[in-house]
Amino acid sequence: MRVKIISTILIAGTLLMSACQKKVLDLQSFSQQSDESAFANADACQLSMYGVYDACQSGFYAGGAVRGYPFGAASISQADMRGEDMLNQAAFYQITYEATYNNASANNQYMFETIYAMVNKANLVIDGVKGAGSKSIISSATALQYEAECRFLRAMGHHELVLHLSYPFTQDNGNAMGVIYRDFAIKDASTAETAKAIKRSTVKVSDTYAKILADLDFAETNLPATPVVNTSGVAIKTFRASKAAAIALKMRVKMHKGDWAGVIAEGNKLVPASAPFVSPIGGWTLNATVDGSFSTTTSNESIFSIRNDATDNPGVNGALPQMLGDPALGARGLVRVSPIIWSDPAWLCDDLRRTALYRTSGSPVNAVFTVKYRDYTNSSDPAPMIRYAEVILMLAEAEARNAAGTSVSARGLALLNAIRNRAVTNVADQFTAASFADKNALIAAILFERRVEFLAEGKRWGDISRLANDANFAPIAGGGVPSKVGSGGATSAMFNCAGATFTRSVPALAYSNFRFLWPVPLSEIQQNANYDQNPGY
Amino acid sequence: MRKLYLLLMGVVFFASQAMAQRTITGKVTDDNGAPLANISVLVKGTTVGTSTKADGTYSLNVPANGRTLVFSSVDMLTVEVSIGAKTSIDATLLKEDKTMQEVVVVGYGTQRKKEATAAISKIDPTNIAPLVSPSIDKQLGGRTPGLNVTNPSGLVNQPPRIRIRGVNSVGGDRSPLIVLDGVPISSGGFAGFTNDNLLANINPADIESIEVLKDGSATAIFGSQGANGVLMITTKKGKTGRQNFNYSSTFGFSKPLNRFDLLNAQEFVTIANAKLAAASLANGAFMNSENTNTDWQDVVFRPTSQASTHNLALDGGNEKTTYFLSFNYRYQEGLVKTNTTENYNIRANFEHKVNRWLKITNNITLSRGFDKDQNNGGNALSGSIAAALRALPNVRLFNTTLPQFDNYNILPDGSALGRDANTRTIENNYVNIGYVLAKNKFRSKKHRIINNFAIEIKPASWLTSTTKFAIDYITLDEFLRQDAKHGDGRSVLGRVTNQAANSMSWVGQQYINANKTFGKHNVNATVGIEARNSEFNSFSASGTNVADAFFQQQNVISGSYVTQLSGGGYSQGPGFFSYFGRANYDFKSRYFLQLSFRRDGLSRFAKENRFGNFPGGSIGWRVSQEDFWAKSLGKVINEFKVRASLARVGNTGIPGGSFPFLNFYGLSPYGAISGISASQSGNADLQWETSDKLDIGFDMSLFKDRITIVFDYYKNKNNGLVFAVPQPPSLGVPGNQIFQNVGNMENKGFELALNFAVVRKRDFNWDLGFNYTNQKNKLLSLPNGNDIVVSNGTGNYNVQRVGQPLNALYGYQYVGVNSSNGNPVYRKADGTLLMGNITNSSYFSIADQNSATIGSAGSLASADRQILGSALPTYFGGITNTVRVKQFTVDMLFRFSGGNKIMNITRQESLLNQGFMNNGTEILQRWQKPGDVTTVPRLWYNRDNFTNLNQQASTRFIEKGDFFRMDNLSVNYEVPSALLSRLFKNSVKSFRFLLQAQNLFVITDYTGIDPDNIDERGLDYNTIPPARTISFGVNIGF
Repeated sequence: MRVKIISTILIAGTLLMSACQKKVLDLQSFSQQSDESAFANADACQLSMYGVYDACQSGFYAGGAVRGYPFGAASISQADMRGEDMLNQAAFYQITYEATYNNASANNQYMFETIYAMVNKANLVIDGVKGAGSKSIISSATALQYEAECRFLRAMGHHELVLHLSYPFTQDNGNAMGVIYRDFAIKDASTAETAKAIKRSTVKVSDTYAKILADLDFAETNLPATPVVNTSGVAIKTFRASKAAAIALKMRVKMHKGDWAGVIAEGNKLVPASAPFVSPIGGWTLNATVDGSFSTTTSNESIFSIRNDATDNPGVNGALPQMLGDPALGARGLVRVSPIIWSDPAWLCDDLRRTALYRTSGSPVNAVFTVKYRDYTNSSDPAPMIRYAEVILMLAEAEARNAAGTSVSARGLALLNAIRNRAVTNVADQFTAASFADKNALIAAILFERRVEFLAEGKRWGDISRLANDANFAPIAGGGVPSKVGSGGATSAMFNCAGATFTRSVPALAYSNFRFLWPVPLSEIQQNANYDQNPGY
Repeated sequence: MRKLYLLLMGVVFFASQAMAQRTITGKVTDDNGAPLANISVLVKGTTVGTSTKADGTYSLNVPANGRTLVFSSVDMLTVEVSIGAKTSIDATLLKEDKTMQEVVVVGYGTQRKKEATAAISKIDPTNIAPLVSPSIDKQLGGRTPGLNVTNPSGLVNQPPRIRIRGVNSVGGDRSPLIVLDGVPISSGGFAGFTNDNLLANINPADIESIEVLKDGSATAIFGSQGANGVLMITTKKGKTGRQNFNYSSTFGFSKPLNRFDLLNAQEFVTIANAKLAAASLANGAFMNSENTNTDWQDVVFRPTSQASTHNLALDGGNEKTTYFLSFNYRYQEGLVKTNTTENYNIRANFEHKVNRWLKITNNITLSRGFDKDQNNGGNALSGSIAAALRALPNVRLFNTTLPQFDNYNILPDGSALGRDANTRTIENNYVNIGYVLAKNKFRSKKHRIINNFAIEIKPASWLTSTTKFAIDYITLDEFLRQDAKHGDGRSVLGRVTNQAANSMSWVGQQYINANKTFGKHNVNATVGIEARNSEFNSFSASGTNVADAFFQQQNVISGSYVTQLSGGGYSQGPGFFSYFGRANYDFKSRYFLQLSFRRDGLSRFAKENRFGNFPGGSIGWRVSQEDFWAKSLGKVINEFKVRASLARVGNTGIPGGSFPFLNFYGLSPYGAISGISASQSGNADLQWETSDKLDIGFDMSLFKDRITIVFDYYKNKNNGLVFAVPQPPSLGVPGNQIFQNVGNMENKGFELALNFAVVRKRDFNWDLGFNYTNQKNKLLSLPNGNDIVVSNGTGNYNVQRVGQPLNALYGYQYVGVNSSNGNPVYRKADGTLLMGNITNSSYFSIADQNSATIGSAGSLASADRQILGSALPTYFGGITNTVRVKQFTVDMLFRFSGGNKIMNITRQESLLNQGFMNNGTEILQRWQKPGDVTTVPRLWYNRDNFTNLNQQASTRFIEKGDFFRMDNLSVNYEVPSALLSRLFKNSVKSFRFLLQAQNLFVITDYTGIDPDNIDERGLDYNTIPPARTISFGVNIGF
């Protein structure tokens, strides 16, 4: 009897335990899905497409934090901090501001890493939607549109990289070392090996630019002219790539090449010969007021911006309103407006932008903050990438430069005035053809207008880079970054629209200094000897 | 014929003796004079014997030829007394700890230590239990070789880092498996908003013994969970035949062992203005009219932190049923004002023999933990230490004109610490930490049930079947509040968050033990199966832009905030299933052989790679049992055993989450638009990470166990280490990594434990213990042989390099300050010198350190970084000293460690910062004028990155980590039992007083706050100092 009971218990126990094996070992994930299911239906394809935009908005930073890398806010803050018109107030952006970065500096490293991470996500989606299109999971038109969006973002990413890591196209006509262009999906060991075999030393700036333009041509062809709608039928507009965005980005890329005829050709697709300037593609136009693009984030001027929302944004350590806003409004005020631009008499005292887009504090003024980004509590401001105003000023510059001889381009002037007269309403202060001695005077005015109009929008580095080899318009003689006001060095009396004196304690960085270029991060160098480092690092 | 004769002689002899018996009486007591029951009293060489009664007395009829009485008990040292003409013989028995006779708990059973062939150390928790400590694990350091315990900070609720025989995984789990009463339990921390320690749920006073299983033979039975060693914790059970009721209590007071040396207000003004002047900026620091000199460490630290414990335990039983019940309350305040930990633990152990063959046991722990914390971020603006080190000393804590901030001194817009007379605001908007600590709350409440139910069936006397089922259920309820006006919550106008999490882990075991003796052959075998799984879920609700601080006090309150945020997650596993077996064989208790085998399946691998096989074996030889030994050396060396083991074990705690073998797409919302994107590149070929462990050692006892020596040489070779193999970021692979089995690492060294019973007398005992571990860690191979630079989130101070120890410190060679211009000088890899010109942040070659002539432009490139030292200690150990004189016992523990280097980031980034922030006193030695010889370069406002090479290591900030410290001193007074019985008429059995001091001193050259408070990469960044604690306790037994 006893033996029977015991053996029954033992056998039952053992069987029960053995039955567990499958249950215990065959587990499932409920928080991530397999890569196959990511393109298994139309909804999944669309989710994957938004995932690439997310990679632009909220890439990783050290330890996984979201700080707006690469395009959420980081590209804007960094490009401003490399220039002289915005003032670094604290140690936060000190490395970038004073160009003391090395190959381990986090800010440079994560720009590099998050851009390439976004690019590969784009490449994976290109493969995925092509497959879904061929299986009729989505229409071929939709597949092409997604592919075009991916290629647009991929081009934008590579252009940002080449701006920071390579000498400008204007040096030796693009013969300097470019950046490796990732144009195929890396998803397994063999594709990884193929990618690793590409040597940066064989890639010229002109090669990178050629691929960027090829992607943008494809994007222009296949992107919709009218804003995309989301699943609920609401126009997403500004927050997804459109045909006009691709054309505008092409203008920027060609401007960096110095291909003025190209800029004009692209610009003519978006800008009519004469006012009113309303784009025939997409209906983009200038807002009536100087702050229209910032009071309404999806205005008709905002061709492309990276979206942020209260539930998903770069937070207190990255969001534009937090970084740039006035502490009196709850922000951190780490990046302010420098007296270099604020006290430049060329920026007229009654320019409406001074009051509509900036706040001053102290009397006399001891700090100036932008209010372009204003959701200090929820950080939902988008990161502006392309405004119609940029299209207008790029075209203006191209027309001005392309004018015959030393003549002052009438169209260039009209386009400049379209932007400037929105802010300078006093007719006596407005430019006429007589205001300019020659074409160079007009170009200089356009370049200055860019500094004012795009202040705090991260356009300054691009101009410093592309103008470095420009004998007439280099920011400093021989090219380079102009000297700056010392960090946190702003005190009262430095800010005066009629001009002020102040010390520029951060020395200029000559074009010949190796730190004009960013380093390739150590994380890359160590794992990939083929990604050649820039000299000096 | 000869045999028969002998037999006859024996009978006659016995018969003649039997006629001349006499009675001997006496009393057996322990070394404190307390009576001992159930002690065996035997006439040597015969079967004549009895055992003592409850009052310790005995009476025995001794044959006339009986010459010696033997007093013995399982856990006591045997005493022999010659009878002579005596009629009354009393004996004192000493507890038999630290000897070869004891029983050790091994996986799925117990073994006599003398039979063990594995490297197992036993820690007696008796001296540890009364210490003021938030958890037992914090007190295990220095007590046994091979076990290294480091407290990463002085926070009372932060789990210590426990390592057995070094670091045995690169990317995976390195903590030992914790086994409570035979069943693995969760350890480490669980909470999100605070630190917490799951081992604080085990009452130190409930612990009967702690075994440290170190080599492969000991851990092989745990198979894939044994790579990092095993800590086996066994709790107390009731004992048959007597009831005990015990109450103990301790009260303690703590202060920081060390504080940071910061500038006073006047010094700060001088230094801050000097930094600004160098950068051509106007003076910014000024003394205010009150000449304020605030010590911000006083704002952050409690003047005195308190701790108290109460412990009630009841145990007893009869032949059939035994029970043990305890209630434990512990409260301890950290040094930082908001840091506390509070634990309530109830434990009930119950054991019942249903009949001859069936026994049921159940052990349950119910516990509640309540932790409070603060932002401890090393570079967080509201980080308690970070802010205290950087806050301006010439600024007041309070400003009575600011009622909106409860009179704390804060800039009117709430963005930063107030300025007072300064014309600048503190760098980076560091906060008034006084306000933040007063307002912000970080709390976690945790409830936990650990239940362990077992059925033991004995089909035959030599066969036992055990079925165990255990659960470990943890539920967490957390609350976080950040004030809207100042600090971390200001940017979102106040934040309030609740978070809940539940974790349920279960383990089922079924195993059979067979134990049989055939003549001189003893065989003991175990076979079984084990299954484990767990489930975890969490969710949070959070609001920002809070209506009013009133609604932010205890919980999220509906409608009190504008922006609503929520989150959550769910996961299962890892699931675990295994078959195991072990066989022990010994011949004449002299030759031992043990073989074990385990086959483990883990859900974290692809189906075809799921199972791993883990064999182990060991041999032992008790040389001292051999005749030749007994005749010669035996008188001096009474016990000598040599042993050797070799085994392969695995590591279940590999990196890579639950499914490192799968390609995943994870959620990637684009603002408020849902999205998914590639989140993991899986590796279907991923295999078990294994560790081949070799151990050769001996156990030796001299002069009748007066001196015991245990020596082990060990070598662990870790194979197929699972690495998050870094991918070039330009490939854009998710996380820039793919998990692969590609590395090999080796840990080797030796361990020595020496115990010396210097004096062993009735009223005077003196025991000395010494243990020493030497360990060497070396990476043998890495993916593609490439270096892997390790980021700690903010910087890169370490590297993984073949031939170097794990996490080797890596950086630049600092030569010193150029005395003619005050610039830092470095040595490049090629040996040439490079001076960093602070004025323009550029490097120039220089002929010698102090040369005034500057050479051509150069750069400090990554190729100039060199290995600067090992982050891991190469030796550590402890010294124990116990002296008992009559009723007084004095116990001391010293601990030492060294051979490692520490990267002192606190010095680099906090104490020597160049911003408008306070500094440590070292900055007073700055270079000021040509000819100054110093190690601190000239000042320049905000040139930190250039002057100090922030985010990178340099020899300027690398320091030796060697230390020798006195961890504990306790004085224990036991009231004599005679006095007790006079005072309390036998109602009180024992009464002890304790006076203890912990962390008395540390001897070190390290200039940081404490060389023990570093992370495993050898980094010290704004950690909270350890506490020196004085405590007083009582222990009453009824």
